[in-house]
Amino acid sequence: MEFNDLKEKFKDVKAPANATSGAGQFEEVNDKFIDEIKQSNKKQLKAIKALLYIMPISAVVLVLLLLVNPDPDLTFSHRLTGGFTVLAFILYMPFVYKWYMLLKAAEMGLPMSKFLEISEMRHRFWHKDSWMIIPYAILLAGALNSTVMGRYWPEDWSTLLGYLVVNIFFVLFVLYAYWHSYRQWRKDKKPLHQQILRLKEQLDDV
Amino acid sequence: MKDQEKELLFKKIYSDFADPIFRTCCSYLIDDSDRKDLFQEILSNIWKGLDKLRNPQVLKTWTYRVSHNTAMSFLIKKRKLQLVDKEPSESQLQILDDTDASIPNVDKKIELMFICINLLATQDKAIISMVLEDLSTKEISDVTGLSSGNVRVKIHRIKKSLRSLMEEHNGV
Repeated sequence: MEFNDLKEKFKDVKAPANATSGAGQFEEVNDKFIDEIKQSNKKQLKAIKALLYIMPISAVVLVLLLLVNPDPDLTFSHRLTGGFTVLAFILYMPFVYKWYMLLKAAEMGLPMSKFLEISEMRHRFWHKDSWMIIPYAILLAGALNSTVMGRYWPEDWSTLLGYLVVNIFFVLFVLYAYWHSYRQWRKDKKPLHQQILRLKEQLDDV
Repeated sequence: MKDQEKELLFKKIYSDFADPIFRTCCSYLIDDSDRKDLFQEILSNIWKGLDKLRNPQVLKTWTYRVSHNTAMSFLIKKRKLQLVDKEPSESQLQILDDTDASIPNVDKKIELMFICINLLATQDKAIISMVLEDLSTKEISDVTGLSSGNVRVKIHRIKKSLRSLMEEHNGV
């Protein structure tokens, strides 16, 4: 087999005329096809961008409704719940923004080995940012505690028992959520993660 | 980048690279509809990435990076990543016996070559398809992120594998 002959014949293979959905001639990209790409791109970024706006707006609304609102019907527990929730949003926002920028970045234009590095990181179950879930969970626990103890726990029952019950349920819920997401990751993403890791290692190996 | 500028650049990329991009798709996938899906996805990612393209002088290597990274993503999503060389399936061997080739007006030898490239591990497909497109070692190194020395060694090994695969299946 003459490799150079094959190379020449390889280049005879051309993109077929109907390779784009606009079905135009392949020398000119159909304008409809460009419009389709633009629309699809806009939709994807819109969904993530919406989250970036919703979180600060929700935080401001909660501050107004629960923290500075002078309504005397709002009890201390309402305000405490609001405070914990606002803090959780504020804490979480930089990470949503970071992941938004990561998704938006043209990592498709990076060298293949770097691209695989980012793909591998995305498919991990646990990475360095995952530790941030702990302070976030603590704040949510604070909000839950203030809600239950302030409004639903009977006054003549032991307060200590109340906090114990709420927090045990919360911890059990968190453990269940962790176990369930790990199980999903193991089923869906772990095989892909391992393949990507091996692909990267093989690409780097001589 | 202004919309009009972006459209002109995209059309230029399409006119210069549509064929190499399609050949990249053929190197990764055997199924015709998968190839078309991948082709459209690559063009879509090229469009999305144009705003971030800092240096239009490196359009060629950038286009190849987007093509190969999109192909790998596609294979990951479809769970068709191949980490080792594999044997041809009955349907692939059948293609060579059929009078109608899966790619119209293509020499049987080229058809065999695409099938054999498809049998290679995913990372080897990427490199051999760039060799066949006449990219230099430096350009391949730029696309893959590997050193030029590493690329040279891999090219030699992959060419050997491809040659032996083609000779083995030439008798089909």
